[in-house]
Amino acid sequence: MKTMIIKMFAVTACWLLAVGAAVAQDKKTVSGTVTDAATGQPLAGVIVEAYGNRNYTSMTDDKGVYQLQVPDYVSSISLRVEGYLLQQKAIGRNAEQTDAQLYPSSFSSTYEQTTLSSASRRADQFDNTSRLSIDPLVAEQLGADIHSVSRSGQLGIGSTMFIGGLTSLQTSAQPLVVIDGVITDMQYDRQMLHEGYYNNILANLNVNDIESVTVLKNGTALYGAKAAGGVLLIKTKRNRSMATKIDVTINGQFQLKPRLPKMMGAEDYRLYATEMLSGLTDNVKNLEFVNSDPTNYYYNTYHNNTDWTKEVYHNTFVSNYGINVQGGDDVANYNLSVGYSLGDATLRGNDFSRFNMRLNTDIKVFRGLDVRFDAAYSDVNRDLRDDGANADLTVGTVTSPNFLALIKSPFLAPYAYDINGNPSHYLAAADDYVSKVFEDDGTVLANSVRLANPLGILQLGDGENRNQAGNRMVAFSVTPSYRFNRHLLISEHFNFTLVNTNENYYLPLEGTPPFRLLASSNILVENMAQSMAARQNSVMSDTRLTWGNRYNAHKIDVFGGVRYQSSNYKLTAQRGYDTGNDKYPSTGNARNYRTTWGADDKMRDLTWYAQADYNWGEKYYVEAGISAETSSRFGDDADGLKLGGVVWGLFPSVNAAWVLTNEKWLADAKGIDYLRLNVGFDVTGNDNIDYTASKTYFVANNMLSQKVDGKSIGNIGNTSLKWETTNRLTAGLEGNFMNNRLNVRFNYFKGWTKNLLTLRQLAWTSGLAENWSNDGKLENEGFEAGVGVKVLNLKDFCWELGASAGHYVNKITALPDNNKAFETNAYGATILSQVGTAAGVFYGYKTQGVYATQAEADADGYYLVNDRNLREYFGAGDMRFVDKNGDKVIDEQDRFVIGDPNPDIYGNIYTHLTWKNWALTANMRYSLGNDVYNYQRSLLEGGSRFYNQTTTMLAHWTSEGQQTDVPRISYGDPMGNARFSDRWIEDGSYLRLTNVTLSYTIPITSTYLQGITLWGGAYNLFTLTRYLGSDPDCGVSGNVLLQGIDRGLLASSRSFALGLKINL
Amino acid sequence: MRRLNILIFSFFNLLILASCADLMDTDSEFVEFQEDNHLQSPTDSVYSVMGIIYKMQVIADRTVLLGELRSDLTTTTGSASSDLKAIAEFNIDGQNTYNRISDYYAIINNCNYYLTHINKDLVKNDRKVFESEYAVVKAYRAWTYLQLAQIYGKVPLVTEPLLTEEAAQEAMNQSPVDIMGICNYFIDDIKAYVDTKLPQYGQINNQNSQKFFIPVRALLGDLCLWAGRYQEAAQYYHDYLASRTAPIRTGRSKASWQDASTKEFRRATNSFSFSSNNTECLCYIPMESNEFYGIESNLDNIFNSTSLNNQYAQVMPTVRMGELSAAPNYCVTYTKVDQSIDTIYAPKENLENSKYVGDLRFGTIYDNRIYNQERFGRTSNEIQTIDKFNSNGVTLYRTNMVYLRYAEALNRAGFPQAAFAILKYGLYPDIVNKQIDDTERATGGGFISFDGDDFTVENTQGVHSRGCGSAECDTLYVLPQPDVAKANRADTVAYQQPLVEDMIIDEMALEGAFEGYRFYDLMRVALRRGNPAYLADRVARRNGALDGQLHTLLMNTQNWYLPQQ
Repeated sequence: MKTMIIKMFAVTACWLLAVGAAVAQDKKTVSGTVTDAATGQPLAGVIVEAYGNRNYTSMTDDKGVYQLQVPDYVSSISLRVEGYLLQQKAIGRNAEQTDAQLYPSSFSSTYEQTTLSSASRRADQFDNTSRLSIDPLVAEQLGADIHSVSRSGQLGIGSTMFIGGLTSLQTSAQPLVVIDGVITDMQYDRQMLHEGYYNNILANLNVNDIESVTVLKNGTALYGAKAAGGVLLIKTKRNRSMATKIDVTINGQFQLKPRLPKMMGAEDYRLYATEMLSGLTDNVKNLEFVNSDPTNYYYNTYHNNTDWTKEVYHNTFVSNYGINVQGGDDVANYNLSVGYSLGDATLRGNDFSRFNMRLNTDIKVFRGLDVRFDAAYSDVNRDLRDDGANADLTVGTVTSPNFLALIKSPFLAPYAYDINGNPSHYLAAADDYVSKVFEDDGTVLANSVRLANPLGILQLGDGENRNQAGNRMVAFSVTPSYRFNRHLLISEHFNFTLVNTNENYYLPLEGTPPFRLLASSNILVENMAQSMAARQNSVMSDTRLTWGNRYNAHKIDVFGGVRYQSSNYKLTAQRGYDTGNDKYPSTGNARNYRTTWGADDKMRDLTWYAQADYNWGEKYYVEAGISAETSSRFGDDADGLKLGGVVWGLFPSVNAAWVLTNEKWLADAKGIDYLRLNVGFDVTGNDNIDYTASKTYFVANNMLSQKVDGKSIGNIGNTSLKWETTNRLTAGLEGNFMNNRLNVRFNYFKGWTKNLLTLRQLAWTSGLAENWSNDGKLENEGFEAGVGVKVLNLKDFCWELGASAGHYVNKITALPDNNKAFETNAYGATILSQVGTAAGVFYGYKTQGVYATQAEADADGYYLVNDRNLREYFGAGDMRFVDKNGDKVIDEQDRFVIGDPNPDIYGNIYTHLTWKNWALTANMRYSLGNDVYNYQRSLLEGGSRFYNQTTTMLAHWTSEGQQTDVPRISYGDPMGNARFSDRWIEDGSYLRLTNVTLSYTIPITSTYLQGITLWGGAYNLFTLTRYLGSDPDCGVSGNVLLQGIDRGLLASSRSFALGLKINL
Repeated sequence: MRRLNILIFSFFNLLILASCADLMDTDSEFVEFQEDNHLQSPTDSVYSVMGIIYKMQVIADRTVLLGELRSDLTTTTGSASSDLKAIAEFNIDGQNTYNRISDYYAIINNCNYYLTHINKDLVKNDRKVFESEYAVVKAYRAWTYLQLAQIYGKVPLVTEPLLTEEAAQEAMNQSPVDIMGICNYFIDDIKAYVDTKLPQYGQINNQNSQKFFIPVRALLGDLCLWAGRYQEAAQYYHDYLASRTAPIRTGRSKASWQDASTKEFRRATNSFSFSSNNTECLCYIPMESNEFYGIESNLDNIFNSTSLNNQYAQVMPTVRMGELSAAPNYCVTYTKVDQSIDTIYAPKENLENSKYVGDLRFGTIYDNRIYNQERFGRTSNEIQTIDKFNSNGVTLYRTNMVYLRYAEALNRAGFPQAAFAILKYGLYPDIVNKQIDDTERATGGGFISFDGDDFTVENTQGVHSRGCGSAECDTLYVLPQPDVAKANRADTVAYQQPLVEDMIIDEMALEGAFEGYRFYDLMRVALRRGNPAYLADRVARRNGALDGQLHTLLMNTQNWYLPQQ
């Protein structure tokens, strides 16, 4: 790695020497004709400049002809005019024939006003959408550059994102988000009360307020210690024009119910339940639900055919209203926007509303002194319910209405029948059609087979103090800057951000069965109330000195400064059980088992940074930067630069670019309009260290029925604890070919991460099991490639087509405790972390069909050893597991790596058509080769509980000799037929048409009305996939090790939007 | 302009010079950093003591299970977890949940931290404020080391807090100390605290917190007993039991035939109480009332049929337990009209319930019934009850067990008559005078003197009487005498000592079965006699016939200890 840096410095030095030699400055004349690429008509009024140098400017005349005197070193010009894309054009051997054809701005831009030696990708087409947060748009438009996985179909819940592979193992590897220069805490690891819910901080930003989102691929020195997971820069809109502009947007989105698994009907389920009971009791016939006598008192109760999903899902409407006012003069500029959004998720009981306001101003106080003042406020409120299948079925009861809707017996009805056998408006109680069978085992087991009425959870759990979450974000920035002269500027960016989050949770008593509180205890509780309040605030000060100058061909820009950030996250939460009734749903009324918990995480950072950019003649670019960060999270004795009593991490980055087409020998090459090579090397860190891990501390132990507190050693601090370090090499090219019709981008990266934050085993004399340390390594290698084609460019009709593909290979190369592999268990899955494989691989059993006959099973003679150390042999109807080591016993030694959630390739495909005032945009996303563990299906086809099952289960094994791939059903699954195996690992590849939007701009121009745009869109119109679950684009967590798990969270669904945008 | 420049530069300088270390300091409300834990206030000290008890809760069940399952008195049922089965089979690996040596060092490290950082001599209002807690923590540490040495053999002796990984690693690699070394070290370490008053925390969660603390004298007795310092052991036990301020008597609760007066031996019962409120319980580790609040003792679910284990008990008594219990005679006395006493023995055959043969303690504590069961019943049709557990915690010291260890010490100290008197009569002035000869009284006076007001026949009985009726009248239960008179007293004592010791060890089995003492009692005698067979013979015969493989395994004393993981 070191040699790499040395080489790069050597190259830079050579360039500087070469540059020093070329001192003589002769001028040359550049001239040519600028025409419209479609019509060939000359374009007048095109501003022609020496590229990146506004000192040399000209304009085309009526014939599209320009003439520009430029110094000899100028190698290219830029051309820009309203309505057309900016273009860079190399000056060839014959400078006086530097002609250019411009493309209308309805195409995607392929040139930048200034070239940087660093590589990045930007998305900025966020008009005409009814999306509630930026995440899906980023996923659509930066398909290959960010690997995004949708968190769920919940409104505005966003996506889990990874850039450049997975750069961490046991701490967050998600990107750093910088909003208008402020590092913003995305609360990636914060737990919320409702299952399946994530507090998406990005949902506080209105999409209409966002100008662009940029992914940095290298040149990340500025964010060194935080940049290992990649950097996402979000810029909000600022005013640019002197004229006042008012935009009013109104749009609505009609969402259809999501695709759901096909469940068995009432009679099929009755047979299923009866069959399962036959192994549990001799008295099935005495149970009321099998009594088919219509005169039986309970006949109505047990003879319905309820599609519970109809009770729980609905088609919904989401609407957005916004007004944006921009304007200003030469003293002050402002951009004020106010927005309001509201809508229901397709899953009942999950509503969303948001009010947001943002004011961005730029004020010139006096000559040289400018102040930027920004203020933003947003208030997001939601109704929530638990979402998805329980992570752990040994405790509690099923509480998510959507999972209940799938597994609840269809022969039951949501409402009770009155004495005359007519449906009443009283909610049916929790079911108990089989609990009688378990009564002899005690009330706990009898209750644990009961399921709640999902309507009870929806209806009785409704209300502000019941199941609701709120999130308020306030951000203020003041940025005074003083310009000493043309070259020197000092600025200070002060920011205060406050994010307040509160959440209430209430599981009603009525309609919910009493449930087991702990897996290994017989404590039964009736209902549950929880509440939490969290406050995250941060203060940032970023003082920066900027200097820049051009010495003929040499352009130098330097900046440096210091950034201080202080961030606190404080959470208090409590939980209690048994409120007695549903009238007072607060934890204060909970009589039993109350607990409180919280967090008080404080972090201080100080970063010194400097960066220098240099280019020679807009051909050779080089940039070097370094930052030094110290943080309260680092251990006092960590390796690193020790200065001022603290430890500093140093994070350099260096990158260079070469615009080949600006070389004379290539400038005239036919078919090659632009070609830029770039290479970079970055050292970045991940300072996402547990807040107190480097310190030895004591914890309070609540004891003796919470009557007294003890205090004991909670952690032996690792005083050497430091950041994870990622070294990343990037190399890429970008080019425009065939008269700028074809744009090609490619970026290769290879990253080496070391000092992984991992839990290491402590010597047993410490009395503690483990503490955090820096041990372990991993690598990521991959590429992102993109292509865009201007297929048609006619007078009124433009068609653009493009696609991108991303790929990475992640590999763990070292682990602590002498490369000891470790397992992570979640949602019934085992995830293996071992040297040589990717992070997050599934580790389970392989299956080879179902034993059709007892003879087949006996021939194998496979058995398992149960938890009482007794052998149990597999028989007819059981799964045939692969006996890896041939010892006949099916146990942990027989597990394989059965799946990898990391995709082989992912990206997007897009097209854009414009015809006169019409525009049609379509975006597709795809992911290929990623495995998904369908946890929900393992419960819907596990055949081990009194849960309604999918129709696949109609084919389950029932009789000797039956050939099927679905094993027998059996309560409690003693043979582990439904264990974590390749039965539940599916190919999660998909291709989805995420967005089609057609817009029409009504050609009006009046004093009061500048224009009206009408648009209609369709989201998730179709998905091509073999995946059996509701949505292949799913995940349960942002945790690196828990990727590719489907717990049946609310799936995203097809929706149709209609919108109106009025420019006043 | 210049002024602005100066301003800017001074700002930068401020940032550079302001001590970064202070700027980077953070605190937390949810944990207490080491540097903030000053142990200055009484509450700090109370919390620390409770924190040590919190760590003791982790190993509480293990003290019983490792001592009991490896003994000859219990074995696992088919329903036992594989970890329990592994213990019973002496096949304990590093994965076994009951083999975590770090749990013991967690107690020790917290004790060490406390002992190193507390200002034990701090005086406030003329009172040494931390003196009581200091003594208590010293006792916890010594007790934990004794446990460690019994379970793991040689262990590193660490007395300084380990607050870094390096220190912990170094401590782990230091040369280990055997049980002798451990005992001798801690005898010196705690003997200054025999009279230190226990802290007064009053009732905590409706329990008398005084019983949460290890009695220093009793512990010193144990340490001396293991170290072979028998006279000192006898003295510590004696001083503990015969205390003027808090005398500890055997009491007269016993297991007995309910209908013995009619000479029908049908139903037996006992008047034992093993609850923490009972005077018999001297010290216990308080446990949580249910798992929600933390660590609950699981002994009840392991030894008994409960709804949580679907009535499948995981541990059951062995054949040998039955044999041991059947061997003694139950002696019934009848006072005749003329006030003379008639002695008869309960029959040993044709009893309605064979578990009542001989000693009644086992038979009345243990119950096992078989019920009819539905074909698909998920619960066991065999219901087992072993009524020996303290619902508030795990008992560490119990009156009659301390008396038996006292007897063991006395016997080895050269006083077999006094030792035997504890089994047969109980010690009180009358008995000392009547049953112990002058020579023994003269040399051992200080070890066996009891106050006649506190210790009387009304509140004292021989431990053997707890299961065998009126042991004091039992003519078959006598101090062994050589057939041919020995040449001198020393030879007689030498003859009696091993035999009385055997009787004491048997009595310990009958009295302390299911409480986790047995394996270590056998170990102590085997080590003392330099005879591993003493342990191996008994344990390998737990199921009646000799298990040759197990016998061979246990003849190697290395296999008596758990691997250190």
